[in-house]
Amino acid sequence: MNSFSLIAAILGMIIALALGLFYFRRGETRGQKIFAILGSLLSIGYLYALFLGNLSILQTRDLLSSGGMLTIVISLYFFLRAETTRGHWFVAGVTLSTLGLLYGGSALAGVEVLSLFSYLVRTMFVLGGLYGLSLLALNLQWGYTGLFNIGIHGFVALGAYTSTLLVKPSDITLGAEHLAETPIPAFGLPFMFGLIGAVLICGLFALLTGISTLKLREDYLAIATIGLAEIIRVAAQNLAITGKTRGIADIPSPLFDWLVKSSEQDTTGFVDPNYYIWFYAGMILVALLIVYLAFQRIARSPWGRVLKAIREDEDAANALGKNSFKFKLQSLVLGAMVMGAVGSFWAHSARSITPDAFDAVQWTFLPWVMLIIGGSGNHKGALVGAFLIWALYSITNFQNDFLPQRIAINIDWGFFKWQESLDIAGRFFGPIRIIIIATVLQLILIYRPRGILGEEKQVSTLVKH
Amino acid sequence: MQQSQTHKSFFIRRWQLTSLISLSAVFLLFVVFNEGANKWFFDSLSTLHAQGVQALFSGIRYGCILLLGAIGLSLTYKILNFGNFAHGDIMAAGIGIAISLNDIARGVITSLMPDLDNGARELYSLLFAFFGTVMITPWVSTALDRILYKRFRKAKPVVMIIASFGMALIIRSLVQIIWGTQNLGYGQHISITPPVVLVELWGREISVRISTQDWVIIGAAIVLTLLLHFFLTYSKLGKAMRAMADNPDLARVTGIDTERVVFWTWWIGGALAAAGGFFFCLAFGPFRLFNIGPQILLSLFAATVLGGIGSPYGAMLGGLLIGLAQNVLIVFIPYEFNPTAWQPAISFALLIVLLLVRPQGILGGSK
Amino acid sequence: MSLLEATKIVSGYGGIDILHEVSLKIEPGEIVSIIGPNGAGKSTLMKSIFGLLKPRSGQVILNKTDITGWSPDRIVHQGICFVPQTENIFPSLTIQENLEMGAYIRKDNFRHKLEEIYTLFPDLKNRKNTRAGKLSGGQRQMVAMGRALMLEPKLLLLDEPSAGLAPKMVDLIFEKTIEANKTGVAILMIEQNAREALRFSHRGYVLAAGENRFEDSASNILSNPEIGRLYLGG
Repeated sequence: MNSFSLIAAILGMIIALALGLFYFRRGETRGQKIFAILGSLLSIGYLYALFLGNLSILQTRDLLSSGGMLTIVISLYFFLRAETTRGHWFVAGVTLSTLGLLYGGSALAGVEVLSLFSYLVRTMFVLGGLYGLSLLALNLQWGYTGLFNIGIHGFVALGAYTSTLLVKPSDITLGAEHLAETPIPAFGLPFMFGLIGAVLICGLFALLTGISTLKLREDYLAIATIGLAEIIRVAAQNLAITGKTRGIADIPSPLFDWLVKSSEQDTTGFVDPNYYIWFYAGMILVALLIVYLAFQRIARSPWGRVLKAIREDEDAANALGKNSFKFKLQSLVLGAMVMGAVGSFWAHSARSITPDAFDAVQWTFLPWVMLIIGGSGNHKGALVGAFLIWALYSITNFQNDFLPQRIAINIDWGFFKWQESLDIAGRFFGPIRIIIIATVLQLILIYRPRGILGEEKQVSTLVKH
Repeated sequence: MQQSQTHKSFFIRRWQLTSLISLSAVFLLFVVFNEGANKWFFDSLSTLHAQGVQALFSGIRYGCILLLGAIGLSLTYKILNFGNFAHGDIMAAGIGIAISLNDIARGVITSLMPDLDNGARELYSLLFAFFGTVMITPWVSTALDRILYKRFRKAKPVVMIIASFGMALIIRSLVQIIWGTQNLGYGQHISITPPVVLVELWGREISVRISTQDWVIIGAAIVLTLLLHFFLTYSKLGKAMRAMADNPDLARVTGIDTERVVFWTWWIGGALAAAGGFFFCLAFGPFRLFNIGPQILLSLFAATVLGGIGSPYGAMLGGLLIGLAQNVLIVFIPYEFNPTAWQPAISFALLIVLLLVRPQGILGGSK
Repeated sequence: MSLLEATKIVSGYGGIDILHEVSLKIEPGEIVSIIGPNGAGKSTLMKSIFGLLKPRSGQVILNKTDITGWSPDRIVHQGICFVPQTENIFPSLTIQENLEMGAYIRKDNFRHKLEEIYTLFPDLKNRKNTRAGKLSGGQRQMVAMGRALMLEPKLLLLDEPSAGLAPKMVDLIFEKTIEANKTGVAILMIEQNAREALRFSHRGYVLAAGENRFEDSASNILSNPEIGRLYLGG
C-alpha cells in the first residue's frame, strides 16, 4: 500500500462524506435523505475497498459493476418516487455524484473504466429492458386481471425459437457438426417477420391454454402454463428442428450487416461491432417505451377498468354484463404476445439459443419476485422491481470472485469416508443465489404482502354471503 | 353461471361431442390417406403389440410410485386449498435422505459384519434407508407448513402457490448443495438385466422383464395403500382427515382440531412421498437428484386432478392411470423424437383434456 | 340470568358494516327465531355470535363468560353448536361417521348419544352406513342437526334449517327441532318461513337493515298486524 493510495483513499472518502452531508441537508423528504446517506456510504465503502483493500482486478471489476448497478437501480426507485422537479434533480445529483466517485476513483486506481461502464449500461439496458417487458406483460395478466401465469419461460422460449426459425437463412446449419445432415427448415426472413411470428405463435398458444382453463379456478391456469412451458422445453430439447439440446447458433441480428463494419475496408457498415449492442439496447428500450405507454393507456381505458373489476370481483363483473371469460382471454393472449416478443429480442441479441437458456428460475420466478416486490397492479412499481431484482441477482455473482472455487475435503471416521475436492462453484453458487432470492421472496410475502393477499382475510367460506 | 356438470357423471356436452367426433374423423382420414401418417400409425400399433405388456407393467410400476406422491398432494390441495408446488422436491429430498442413509448403513454394516454376503448387506441397508427416509422426510414437510404455510392459512391460493414455488426452489437448491450434481443411486447392481418372465396371453407367449425390485415396489404400494385405507376408515384421525378433505370449514365449525389434522396430513403425505421417492430411485436410479422434483411434479398434478382433488382414492386411481398412460402411449411417439423425454408431455396433454371435459376429476365432488 | 347475551354488535365484511348495534338475548331452553327481509343481517348476526366473524364492537356473553370474537373451535367447547345453511354435512362420510365427527371433542364413550340421535331421527338409523352425499335434502338436514346435537350443546344455532326443502320435509324438520328443544337445548334459529317458525318459538327478533326492529314473544309477533304486513308477507 503506497502513499498515493492512502492519500487518494482519504481524500476520496472525505469528498464522499462531504457530499453526503451536503445532500443530506438539502434533501426534501426522508427518503431522499436516506438516499443521500446510501450514496455516501456506498462511495466510502467502495473507495476504501478499492484503495486500501487487497482486491484482485476481477474482484474490483465486479465490485464496480455491482456498485454502479446498485446505484442506478436505487436511484431509479427514488427518481420515480420523487414528486417535485427539485426532487428529480436531487436524485440525479446524488446518482451522478456516487457514480462519479465510484468510477472516478476507479479510474485513478488504474481500472479500465470506460469499457466497464459500457458493459454496465449494456447489461442493464438490454437484459433489464427485457425483464421490464416481461414484467409489463405479467403485470397485465396478474396485476390487472388476476391471471396466474407461471409459464413465462415457456412463452419466451416459444417466441425465441419461432423467431429464430423464421429469420435464419437456410444455408446456415446448426451448431454442431454431427447435426449438419439435418439442416433446419429456415426461411431467412427479415427480423420483423421473426418478431411478428413469435408474437403470433405465442398468442395462439395462449389462446389455446386460456380456452381450456380460464373458466376454471385460477390455479388450474397456473398448472396449465407451467405444463405448457415444460412441454415446450421437452420439444426444444428433442426435436431436430430446434437443434435438440445443442440449440441453434449463428442467429442473425437485425440490421447487423447494415450497421456494422465487418472489417476496416467494409464500406457498408458504420460502426465497430462492439457498439452494435448499443443499437440493440436502444431498440429494446424503444419497444419497452412503446409497450409501457400502450399499457398505461390500456389501464386507463374502459377495457382496463373491466380487467380490474374482474380481478376484484369476477361475479360482480359478470353480473354487470361483462363476459369475464372474453376479457381474461384477451389479457392472457396480449401478455403472452409481449412475452413472445421478449423471446425474439433475446434470441437475436444472444445470437444462439439452447433449451437451457430459458429456465424457470430466470424467466418465471424472477419476474414474479420482481412483480411482488415492486407491487403489482402498478406499472411503475413493476419496472422498479425489475431493475432492482436484476441487480440483486447479478450482485450475487460476487460469489464467483470472492469465494474459492474448490475446497478439499478430507474426512475419515472409519465407517464414513469423505474425501474429495469439492467443486463449490458448480455445486453451491447457483443454488445459493436461488436460495437468497427465494428467501427474500418468502420474507416479503410474510411481512409486506402489499395487496397480494387480497382484500380481506376471511375466516372461512362460510362467511361469504 | 357455471356449467351444469355437477349432477351427471361423464356427461359430455354437445360441443365437446361434436369436436371429438370431427377431430377423430380428421385424424382417421389423415391416417388412411397420408402415407407418412399411415406408416406412423401402424408402426406404433405393432410396437404396442410387441411391447404392450411390458409397457403395461412399467406403467403399473410407475403408477405405484406416482400414487404415493399424489395422495399427499391431493389431500393438502383440498384441505388447504392450494397446490403445493414443493411436493416434487420433497420427494427428491426424500430420495436424497434415503441414498445417504443407505450409504451410511452399508458402511456401518461392512465394518461391523464384514463377512456378510453382498445381497444381505444390500438388503439390510436398503431397509434401513427405506424406514429412515419414511420417518425423517415427513418432518421436512411439516416443518415447511410450520415455518411458512401456516402463516397463510387465510390467504388466497395464489399466494400459497407462489410461496410453495419459492420453497420448491429453496429445497431444490438445498438438495443440489447437499447431494451435488452427480448421478446418485443406491449402488445396487442395476446393471443386471431383470430376468425374463414368460407370460401367456391370448395364445401368444410374451416375454416381459420384471425384476425383484419391481415386485417389491408394487407390493409395497399395495401394502401402504391398504394401511392408509384402514387408517382413513377406522381411526378417528383418519375420519377427521376425510372430513376435512370434504369441507375444511365445516370441520372447524364441528370442533375438529384442524391444526392437528393438518399436521398429520402433511406428515402422512410426506411419508408417502418419501416412500414413492425411494421406489423411484430403486426403479430408475442413479440419476441427478435436483432434476427429479420438477420432472415428477407435472405427473403428480395430473394424477391428482385426474383422480379428483381431495380424494386419496382418486389420487391412487389417478396415479395408476397416469403411470399407465405415460408408459403405454409413448409407443405413438416416433423414435427420433426421443420418446421417454415426452412422458411429461403426455401427462400435460391428458391434464388439458381432463380440464376441458371433467375438471373435478373422477372421484372429485362438484367443483 | 340469560344463557346468551349479545349486546350492541357492530359487524360486517370488508369495509362495510352490516350490523349496527344489534342486541339479542336467549334464555336457557328457549326457542328464539330471527326473522326479517333478505340482507337484514340475520346470518351476519349468527356468525358474529359463533365466531365466524369478529364483531367490530359489542359483546357476546355466554353464561357470564365473554366469548366475543372467540374462534369457533373455542366456542364449540363452551357448548354452542352451529348448523350452517349449506354444505352442512361431510358428503363422503357415512351418516354414522358424520355423527362421530360431531362428537369429536368428546372424551367419553358416546355410544349412548348416538342411540339418542338415532331415536330422534329414526330415518337415519336404517341408512347409517350410507354416504351422506347420497341423501336427500331433508335427510341431510337431519344429519346436520344430529351432528350438532352430538355434543349436547346448551345452545344450537340453526341457519335457515328449512331452506330448499319440500313442505313435508319442512314440517318434519321443525318437528325435530321442537323435539330437540325438549331435551333442554336452547335454539336460535334464522328462518325465512317466518310464520311457521314463530308458531313453535318462544320469542322472536325482527331484524331489518342491520338493526333491531322488534322483539317480543312469538305469539305477540304473530298477532301483530303491522309486523305481519311488513315482514311476514301479510
